[in-house]
Amino acid sequence: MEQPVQREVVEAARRGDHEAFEVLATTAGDRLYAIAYLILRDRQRAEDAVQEALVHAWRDLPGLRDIDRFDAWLRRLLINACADEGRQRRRWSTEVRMIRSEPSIDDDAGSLADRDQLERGFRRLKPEQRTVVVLHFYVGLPVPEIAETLGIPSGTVKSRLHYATELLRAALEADARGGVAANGQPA
Amino acid sequence: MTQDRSVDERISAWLLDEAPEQLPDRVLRATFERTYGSRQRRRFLGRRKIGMLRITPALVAVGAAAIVIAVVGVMLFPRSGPTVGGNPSPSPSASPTISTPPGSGASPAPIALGGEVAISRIVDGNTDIYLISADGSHAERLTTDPAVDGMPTWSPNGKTLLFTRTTSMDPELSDVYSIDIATHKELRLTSGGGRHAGPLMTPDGKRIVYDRSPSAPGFHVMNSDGSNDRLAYAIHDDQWTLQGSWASSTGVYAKHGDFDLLVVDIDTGSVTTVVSGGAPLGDVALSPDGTTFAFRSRRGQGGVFLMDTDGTAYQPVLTTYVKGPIGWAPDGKDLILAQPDGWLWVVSLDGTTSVRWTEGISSAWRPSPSG
Repeated sequence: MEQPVQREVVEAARRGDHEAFEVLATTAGDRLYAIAYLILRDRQRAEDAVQEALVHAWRDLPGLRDIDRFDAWLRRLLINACADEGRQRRRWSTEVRMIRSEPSIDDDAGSLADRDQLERGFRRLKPEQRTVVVLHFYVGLPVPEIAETLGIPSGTVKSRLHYATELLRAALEADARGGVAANGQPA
Repeated sequence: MTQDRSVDERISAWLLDEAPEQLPDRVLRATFERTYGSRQRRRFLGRRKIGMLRITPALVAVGAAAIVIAVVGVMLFPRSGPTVGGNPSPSPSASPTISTPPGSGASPAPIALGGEVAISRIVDGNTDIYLISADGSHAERLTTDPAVDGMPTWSPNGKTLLFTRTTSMDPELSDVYSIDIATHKELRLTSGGGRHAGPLMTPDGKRIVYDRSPSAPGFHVMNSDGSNDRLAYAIHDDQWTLQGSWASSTGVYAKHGDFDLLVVDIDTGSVTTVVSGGAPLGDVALSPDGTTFAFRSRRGQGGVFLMDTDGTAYQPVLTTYVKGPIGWAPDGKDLILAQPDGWLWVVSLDGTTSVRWTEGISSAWRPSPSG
């Protein structure tokens, strides 16, 4: 969507127009859902997080000072909603999730192994590490923008990103050395 | 951050592969009903026509023009709408099996249960604890800290409320607090970083058990003033959760994974299995008379169920998705359920009557003050 058009729509939604808000929510919904799912690793909770973020967006939109920052603001609401979802359960991503065992047509042995190892490695990350990984590697945000989204220093983002990447790298390298032990720890 | 392009690219590719493509329409529908209610505007019928704007480049220009026309139309012909930023108007729930009762805003719909309830509620983006009367005649904000205050539980004498305060957006950083209801004086009972959550006072009111991690992970016990903290039961995975009820003076119900309900003795550290291998268990709540468990389950399409304390006499109450903690009304005839719409519902045990009661994400009924 062209930015000027979005600006008009955000402005209209801010004034309380339902159709305008519907356009914004519908346009952003899929992207928000993907981010929430990747962080929470649970579809039901990801749906709840998106819904919470959008409800808060409707309520708080009149207080948004810079409507050009709508996307970043909405992302921040979503991250907060994901954190709230995490509080509903003792920890994030404690559910057992089946890793696909049947390769799809375009799978090769390497990508399948990657998925398994990255899945295991990702689940060992702390919630705040997952968040920066998703914002950086999936959304494509640079470090300063992640820092602004999360309200933390850039150095903290770099640190979390570095640690998380190293852990994921270790998971991949463990696979290259011959797989993982049954407990999910590198062999 | 890009020292190894190969690893970065593999992470990016994996995330792209893992990401779901579409948010279900029902989530958008429920969102719009929560925000301004279906009675005030046309029903949301689905968004795929709008979604095409994003996935079909040839339609982007047409879509943008349509949006501009719509916005201009809105500007030229403004309608009277709800006050933006206020509480949502009451509207039908997304759940097909719960009907909408009368009631408005955050004020509780009158229910004939009596007594007072502590409720964790989000108001203007701030999650705090409120004390309200069941009939709506009294409401009092107990906590005002900008942090997230939740998981309220009462001392047996009803004079003190325990709660968990999460001081940042990280759910792993929290502490246990108590507040004296008469004076509103708060007392921080834990410290040192990490997660301290889910406080529950022993039946004699002298000690508190809570859940701690990552340092010395497990169920801890301390005196009611926070002194003499010790690890009562060490846990070695993240599948354990306290369930907020006591099986005996020292035995607290806890859940491990999705299928095992156990009793952990906080003095001896022994564990006794109560239920294992049956229906998937969400939050479990013991009835006031100690004879029945109410529990959430994701079995089938999800719902709320009852079973005897020995795991028998399985009985459905509702077959609709329930999000949060389950509580019992003091008369043992109704359940207090948190719904995805951010409201607490009062539902009869047979599921035939339901009242969309008041906004909240968790609740705890106050014992009659004594002593």
